[in-house]
Amino acid sequence: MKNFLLLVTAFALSLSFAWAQTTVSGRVTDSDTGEPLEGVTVQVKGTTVGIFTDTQGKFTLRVPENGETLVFSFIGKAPQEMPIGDQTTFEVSMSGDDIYLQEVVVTALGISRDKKALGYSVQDVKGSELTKARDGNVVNTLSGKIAGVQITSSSGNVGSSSRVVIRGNASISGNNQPLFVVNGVPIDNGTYQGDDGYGSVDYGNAAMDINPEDIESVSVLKGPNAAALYGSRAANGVILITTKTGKGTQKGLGITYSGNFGFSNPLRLPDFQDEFGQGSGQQFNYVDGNYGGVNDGVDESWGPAFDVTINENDGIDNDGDGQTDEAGEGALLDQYQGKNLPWVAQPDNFKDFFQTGVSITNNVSISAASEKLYSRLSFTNMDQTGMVPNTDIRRTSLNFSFGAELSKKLSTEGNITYTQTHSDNRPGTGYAGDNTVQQFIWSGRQLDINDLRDKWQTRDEFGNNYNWIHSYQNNPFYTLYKNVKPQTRDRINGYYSAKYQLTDWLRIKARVGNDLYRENRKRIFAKETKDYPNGRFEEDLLYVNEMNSDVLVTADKKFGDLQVTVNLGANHMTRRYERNSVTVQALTVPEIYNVSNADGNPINDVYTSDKVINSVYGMASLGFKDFLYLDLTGRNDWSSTLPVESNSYFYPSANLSIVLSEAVTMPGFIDMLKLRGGWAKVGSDTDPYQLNAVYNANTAWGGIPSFTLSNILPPTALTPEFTSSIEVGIDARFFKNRLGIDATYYQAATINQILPVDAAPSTGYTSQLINAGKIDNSGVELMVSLTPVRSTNFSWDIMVNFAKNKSVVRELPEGVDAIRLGRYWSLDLEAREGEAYGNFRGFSAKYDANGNIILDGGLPSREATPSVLGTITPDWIGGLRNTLRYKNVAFTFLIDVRKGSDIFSMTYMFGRYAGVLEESLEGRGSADEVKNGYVYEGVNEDGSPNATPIDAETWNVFYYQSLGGHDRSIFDGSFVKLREANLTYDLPSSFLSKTPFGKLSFGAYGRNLWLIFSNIPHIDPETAFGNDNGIQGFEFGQTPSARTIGFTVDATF
Amino acid sequence: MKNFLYKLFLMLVIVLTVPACTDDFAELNTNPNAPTDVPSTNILVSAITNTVIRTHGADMNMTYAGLWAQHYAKIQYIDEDYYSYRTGNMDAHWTGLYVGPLLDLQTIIEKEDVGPNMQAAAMTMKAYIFSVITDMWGDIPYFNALKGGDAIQPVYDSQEAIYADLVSQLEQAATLFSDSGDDLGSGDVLFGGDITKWRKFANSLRMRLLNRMSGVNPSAKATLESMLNASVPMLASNDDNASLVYIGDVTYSNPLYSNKHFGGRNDHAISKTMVDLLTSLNDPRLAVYAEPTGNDPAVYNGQPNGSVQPADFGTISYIGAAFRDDPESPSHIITYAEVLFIKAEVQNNKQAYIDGITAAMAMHGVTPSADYITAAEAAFDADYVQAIANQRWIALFGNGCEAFSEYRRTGYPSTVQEVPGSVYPGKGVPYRFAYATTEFTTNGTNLTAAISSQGVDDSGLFGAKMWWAK
Repeated sequence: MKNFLLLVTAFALSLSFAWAQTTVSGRVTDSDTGEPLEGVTVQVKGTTVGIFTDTQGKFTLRVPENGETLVFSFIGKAPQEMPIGDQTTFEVSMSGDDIYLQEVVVTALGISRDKKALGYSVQDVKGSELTKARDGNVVNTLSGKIAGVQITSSSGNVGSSSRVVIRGNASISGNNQPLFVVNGVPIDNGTYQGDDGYGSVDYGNAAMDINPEDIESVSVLKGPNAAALYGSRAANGVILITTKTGKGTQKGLGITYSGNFGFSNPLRLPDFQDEFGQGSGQQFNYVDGNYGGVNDGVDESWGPAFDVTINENDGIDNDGDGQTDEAGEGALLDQYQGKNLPWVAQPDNFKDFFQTGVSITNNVSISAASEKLYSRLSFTNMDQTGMVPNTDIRRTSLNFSFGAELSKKLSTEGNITYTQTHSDNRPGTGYAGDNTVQQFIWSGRQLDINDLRDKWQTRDEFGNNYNWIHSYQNNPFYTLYKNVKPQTRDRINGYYSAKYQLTDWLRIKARVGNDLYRENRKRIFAKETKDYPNGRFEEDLLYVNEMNSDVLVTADKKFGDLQVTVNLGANHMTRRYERNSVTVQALTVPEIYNVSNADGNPINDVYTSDKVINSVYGMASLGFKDFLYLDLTGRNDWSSTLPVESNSYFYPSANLSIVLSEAVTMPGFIDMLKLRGGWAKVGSDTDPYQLNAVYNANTAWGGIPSFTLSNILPPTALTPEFTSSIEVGIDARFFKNRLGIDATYYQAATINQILPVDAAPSTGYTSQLINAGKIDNSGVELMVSLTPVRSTNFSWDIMVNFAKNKSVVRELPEGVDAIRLGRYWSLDLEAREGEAYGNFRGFSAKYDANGNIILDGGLPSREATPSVLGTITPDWIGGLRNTLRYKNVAFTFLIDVRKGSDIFSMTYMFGRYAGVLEESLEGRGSADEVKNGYVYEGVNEDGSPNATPIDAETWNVFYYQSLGGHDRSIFDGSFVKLREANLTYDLPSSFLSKTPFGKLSFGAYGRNLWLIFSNIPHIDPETAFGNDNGIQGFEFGQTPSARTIGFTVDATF
Repeated sequence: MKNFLYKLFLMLVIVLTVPACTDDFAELNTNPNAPTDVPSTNILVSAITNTVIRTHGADMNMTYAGLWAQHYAKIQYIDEDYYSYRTGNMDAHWTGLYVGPLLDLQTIIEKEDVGPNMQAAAMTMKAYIFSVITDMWGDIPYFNALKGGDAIQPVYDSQEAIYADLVSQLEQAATLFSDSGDDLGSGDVLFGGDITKWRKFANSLRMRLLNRMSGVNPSAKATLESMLNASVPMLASNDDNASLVYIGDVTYSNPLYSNKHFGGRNDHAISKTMVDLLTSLNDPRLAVYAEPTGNDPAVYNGQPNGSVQPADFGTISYIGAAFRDDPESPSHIITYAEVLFIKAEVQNNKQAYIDGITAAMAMHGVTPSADYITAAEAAFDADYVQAIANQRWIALFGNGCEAFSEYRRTGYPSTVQEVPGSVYPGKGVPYRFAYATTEFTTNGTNLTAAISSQGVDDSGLFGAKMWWAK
C-alpha cells in the first residue's frame, strides 16, 4: 500500500529537467579473437540515445544527465551493461555467448521462453513496426511481415474488417480466424454482422480495438504445435499481443508522445468509358428519371454517344422525339439537370465522389518505475474520416498497466484497457442501394457528382429528392447523410494476476482475465428511401463477455545437466453473448428513429447464449546441456456445447529442439544451427445450442404467434473435431548474424469436422450438423534475414518471408461432393473434395478445343453443367522488407506479394452489363457499328468464325450475367504491392540535449502506395465483402482500397 | 501474508476442481431463445401463410409461373420473360415449400396428441403444397420426403403415383374432418375454424387434381362424375373460397403489394395476352386487372411477353391496383368459380360454365352483361373445352401456378405462345420448372435418375411434359 501511494505520488509529481550532459567514448572488442567489433549498439539504458561502433570498434556518445548505464549489444554476443558514473572511457570485451540463444519470446499461457528451446516456429513483430505506417485496423499492419500469415482487408472504408488466415483454411465451418490473446487473455474478434454481399454494413472485426500504440510486441503462433495449450480455438493459430507495461524502462518518470497524421485516397478506380451516356438502344431523354421519359429509368450507359457527330450519323432517334436526329439535334438532350442540355461525359465523377480521408492519432503515455514497482498509463485518441463522404470512426483508448513486487516471494501485475469505438456513419456495402459506390457501376456516364452533392437536399419538379435517376437509386449524398449507420462499442478488458514463489523451484500463479463489451449498431433508412419508401431502422445491442480464470503451478529444477520445468494448470472459461435487435419496418413520422415511432409492430429479436469450457493442462519441458530440449504438453477440455457423452476430450503435443551449434563445434561462419520438430493435436468444439431442434418464431400474424421448425437437422451423436499437425524446421545464423535462415515444413489435417452440410431440401431440412470431412494443409515457410551492410553510419537490413500452403479437401461426408461456403449470382464458393479449400464453381461459357468462345446466333452460350472455375486459395504469399539506416535517418519499405487466388469481380460483370467500363466500347466504335451491330470474335458450333453482327448492348447484357458464363468475370487475384514505406529521422542527441526531449523523431510514411502488379482490371484484388468464410473472393462495389500518406512525430521527455 | 496465501490456495482448489463440475452443462446448453414444442395451431398459421405468400408471391407466381402463363409481363430485367431463369430463384421456390411449410405440416401430422381436425387440416394443406410442387417440377420426392435423417437422400416418385396418393390423402382428410372434433384454434387463418369449409376445401382440391389427371387417367373422370352426382360437399359460394386475406402490415401484406410498396420494385406490367383477351371479350375485369396507361387514361395496353423493355413506361398498363396496391388483397388457393369450371368441363355443363363466369366476376364486384353471356355461350357451343379453359385462365389471375398448370394441360388460351425473345427458340412455352441445384448437390443420384427417366433436357425447362399433360 505504501508502495502504491508512492506510485501515485510519482504520477502527480511535476517534471523537472536538468539538461547537462557528458560525453563518453570507448572501444569494443571480441573476447574470442581480440579483434575490434563493428556495429555494436551502444545505448544509454532507458533512453533511445545510442550509436553503433565503427570499423575500429570505437564509439563516442553524448550521455544525458539522467543516463546511468551504458548497454552494449551485438547479435551473437551476450549484452553487457556498464554503469557510467564518472567514467568517460570504456574498454569493453564482448564474449561468445550468442544472444540469439538468449532471445526470449512469449509463448502459450504468456510464458516467456528461450527461443532456442522451442520445437516450433514462432515469429514476432515489435510494436514500433506497427505504428510507423499506421492503420486504423492493427491487423492490417501485420501484412507481409510474418511468413504464412495472409491478411485480407475487405475494403477502403474506414474501420472495415480484415481477415487473417494462418497456414491456410483448415476448417469448413469454423471461421478460420486465429485466436487473439492480449497479455495472456483471449479477446473477442467477432464481427456479428452476418455480413453478406447483398447489402450490409461492415462493422469491422472486434480485434481492431487493440491500440497499436500500446503494443510492445506481437508473437504469432502459427500452428497447433505452438498453440496446443490454448485449446479449442487455437487450431487456427494464435496472435499473442503483449502490451507495454512500463517495466524495464528508466527509473522515475517517462513521458512519451506520438502523433500520426494520415491522408487517404483511393488506390485504384475502374477505367470507365466516356463516350456513351445513360440509356438503352442509343436512346435517352429525361422526364422523371423513372421511365417517364425515354429510358430515363435505365441505370446503364447504352444511351446516345457524347460525340454528337456519331448521334447524327447513327440513324437512331437518340432523343426519342419520333424522328432520326438531324444535324445539331444530337447535341442537346433533356437531362435531370434541365431541358436541352449538352450531353457530356463526366470522366472523373467517381473520383470526385471521394474526399481525402484524414486520420489523426495522438498518444500520450506516462510510465513510472522504481525497484519494485512499475506502471504505465496511456491515452490514445484516433479520429478518422473516410474517403466516402460523411463516414468516420473514432477510437479512444485508455490503458493502465502496473506491476509490483510486494515481497520477495509475492508479485502481482495487471492491466486494464478501456476502449470506445464510435462511428457516426459507416457506409453500406455489398449489392444494395445502400452501397453508394454501386451507382457508379449501374450508372450513366454523364452523372454529375458535384451537382448531386450541391443539390441533394432539394427536390425536383415531381417532388422527388434530387437525383439523376429515380427507378433504383437514391442520391448518394442522401444515402450518406440521411441513411446513417452509427456504431458505438464500449469495451473493457484486462487481467489481474498474482504470483507466489513457494520455494526456489516452485511457484504458483493465478490470473483472472476478462473481455467485455457492449455495442450499439443502428441502420437508418429515411422515409422516401428507394428500397424503404416508408422508412425503416434496425438497431442491435450486443453484449459479449468472456472471462478466463487460470491457475498455474510451475516447478523448475535442475538435475545435473538436465533442466526440468513442469507447468500444471487449470482454466475456467465462460462466454456470454447477447443480442437484442429491433426492426422497425415503417415509420409514422419521418426522421424519428425510435421504436415508439413505429408504424405497425416492430420486430424484436432477443438472443442469448452461454458457453463454458473447463480445462486442465500440463506442460513438461526438459532441457539437456543447453542444446537438447523436449516439450510435452497435454490438455483436457470439457465443453458445454457437446453432448454430455462426448464433451470431454484430450489432446497432446510433443516438440523437440536440438541446437547443433551448441552440441558440436561448427565452422566459424556458422553462428547458430538449430533443428526442430514436433507433433501436436488440438481438439475443438462447436457453438452453443446445436444439439436440439427448436421452433423459430416468425413475425406474429396479426397477433397470432407463428412458429416454424428450425431447418437444421440436429445431430444424433456429435464428437469434437481435431486438428493434428507435424512440423519440422531449421533455424540458422551465419556470418556474425548477417544472414539468418528460418525454414519450416508443416503438415496439418483437420478431421472429424463439425459441419453443417447441405441437406436435400426434400428431406424437410436445408442442412444437417454432422462430424465428417478432412482438410489437409501442408506447406513451407521461409524467413531470410540479411544484412549486406553494417557500419557505424550506415546499415542495410533485408527481411524476406515466403510461405506456400497447399490445402486439399480430402474427405467430405458420404455422398457429398462439395460443401457450399457462399453463393453469389449462382456462383458457388465451396469446399469440394479433391480441390483446394474455397473453389469457385459455376457455369463456364462454351469454348472449343483452341479456347475460342463458341457463339450461337452471334451470342455466347454457357455449359449446361457447372464446373470448378477457380480458387480463392493463393499459391504463395510473401513479403520483402528493406531497412536502410544512415546516421539518424532510417528508410524502410515493404513489398507484399500474393500469387494466385481468384476473384469473382461483379464490378466487371455488371460494369460490362451496364456498359460503363472501357471494355464495353468494343462494338460501338463507330456510327456504323452502333447502327448495324458488330461481329464479336468467336466461332460457331461447327468451328467456322462467327459472322453474325450483334449490337454491343445485347452482347454485354447477355454475356455479363450468369447466363453468359461466370468465368468471364473471374480473374487471377495475384498482386505485388508496395505495402509500406517510411522514412524516420531521429534528431541528434547533441541537439536534443538543449531541449526537454529525450528523443524526438519525425517520420513520413505511406501505406498501400502502389499496386505494382495485378492481373485484374479495374479493382484492387485485395478485397472481400467482409471477413467471414463464405464471402471471400467476391467483389462488388467495395469502396476502393485506400492509399495513405502520412506523418509521424514521436517524442520522449 | 498468510491470509493471502490461504486465499490463493482456496482459489487454486476451486479452479482445479471446477473442470469436474460439468453437471449443469446439459442445462447450460439448452437453448433459452426458442421452444422445442409449440401448439399445433401456431405451426399451422406459419405453414398456411408461408405457403400462400410463396405460391402466390412476387417470385414463384409473378416472375415465373404467372409470367410464363402470360398473366403478367416483365418491363425491367426481362430475363425470366425470355425463359432465362435464375437458378437461385428455382432453389428458393423448391426449398421454400419443402423446408418450412411441408416440414411443419408433417410435424403436426406426426404429433402424438394431434386431434382429427388439426390432422386433416394439415393433410389438406400438405396435399395442396405437394400438388403445386409436382405440377411445377413433375417427378419429385414424395413418399420418402420430409423424413430428415431417416431418408437423407429421398428418391423421386412419379407424378402418377404422387397424384394417386394425393387424391387418396384428400379423401381421407375430408372423412377425418369432424364438426364435433377439435378446435383448430386461432391459427386457422383460412376458414376461422369452420370445419365444414375445410371439408369442402379438401374435396374441391381433390376434384382439381382428378380433373387435371383426367386426360391421362380415364378412371379419374369417372370418379369426378360420381363425386358430382353424389353431391360431395364442395365450395358452394365465393364465401367458401380458400382464400388468405392479408393483415396488411409490413410483414403480411399481399406479396404483390409488398413487392411494389415495401420492396420498391415495379418490374411487371400486365401482359398483352391478358389485355387482348379481356378486350376482345369486352370483359369488365379489364379495369380491375389492369391500370390504364400513364400517358392516356383511356387506353389499356398490355406489355408483350419477352419483348424488349419499353422505352417509355407511360405507354403500358401496369397490374391493376386491386392486386398491386391493396395490402389486404386476398390470395385464393381455390375458388367456387374453379369448382364450377371443373363441373362444366366434366359434365359439358353450360350452366355451370356461366355460373363460373358470374362467380369469378363477383369476386371483383362486376357482373357479366347479357351480351357477354350470349358471346360466352356461343364460345361454349363452338368449343366448350377451350371456352372453359379461357375463362378459367382469366379467373385464375393472381394464381400463377394454377394458370400455368391449366395452360399446360389444355393448351389454352391459344394466344399464349412462345415469346419472341426466348433463349430457347422453337421450344415453346416452358413445360416445367428447373430442378433445384441444391438437390443436384445433395441428392444428385436420385435427381439425375428422375431427370433421365422423364427426359428433361439440358435447359431444365423442356424435354418432358407433365404426366397429366401428355
